[in-house]
Amino acid sequence: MGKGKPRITNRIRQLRLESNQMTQQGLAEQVGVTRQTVIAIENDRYSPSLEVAFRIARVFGVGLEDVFGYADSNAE
Amino acid sequence: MSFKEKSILGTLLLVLWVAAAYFTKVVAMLAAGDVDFVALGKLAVGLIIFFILVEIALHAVIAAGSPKEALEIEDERDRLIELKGERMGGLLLGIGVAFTIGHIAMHGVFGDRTSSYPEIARFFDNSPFVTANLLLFWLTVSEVGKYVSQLLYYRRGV
Repeated sequence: MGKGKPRITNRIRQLRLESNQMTQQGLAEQVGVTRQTVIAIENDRYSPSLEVAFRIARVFGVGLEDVFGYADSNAE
Repeated sequence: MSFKEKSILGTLLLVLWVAAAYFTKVVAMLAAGDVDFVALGKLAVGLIIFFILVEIALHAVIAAGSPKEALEIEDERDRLIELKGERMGGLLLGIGVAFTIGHIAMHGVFGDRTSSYPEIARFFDNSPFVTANLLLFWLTVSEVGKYVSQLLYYRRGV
């Protein structure tokens, strides 16, 4: 068992900027969460549920793995 | 700081203020050996009314400061943080109940030995006054723990 905490990373900020400078508020409204939650996800302070993750990916028209990544701190 | 955080912080400070006002009176009564349930009950009712009115006013002011956020519906992160806070509150309340049971049991074992020191014995007796206030104290601790943990989850992430 590894001791390090696996980390879910994301490219939401980059995808927003590529999508006509979409605002955090705009994304939040389309996904159905608060702006604070979008900020928390972007800053890796909250890992969203699978449902919200799929909704975010759908807003950008990409696959789930194009938005989220899984960084295992034990992986060399 | 988001609307939610301001709201929790405001409630936390208010709970601390009301609890301080109430328990200061309780300790003063015990120290003076002048336990008056009726007077304390009146104080408690007054503080509850004060708490409700200030809470309403406080939230109205916070909502006026960020009207958009105030109208937002809670999402999954808010609910998760709320649940985690409730868990912390429940844990602290459980500790408090165990402590109170221990307090009652200890009196059964050591009760008579403190009778030579009436100033101390008043705080450790098994009277309904002490037991009720001990439970109320732990209920307050659990509420404070709940709000503090929620604030930490909002700040540090969940």
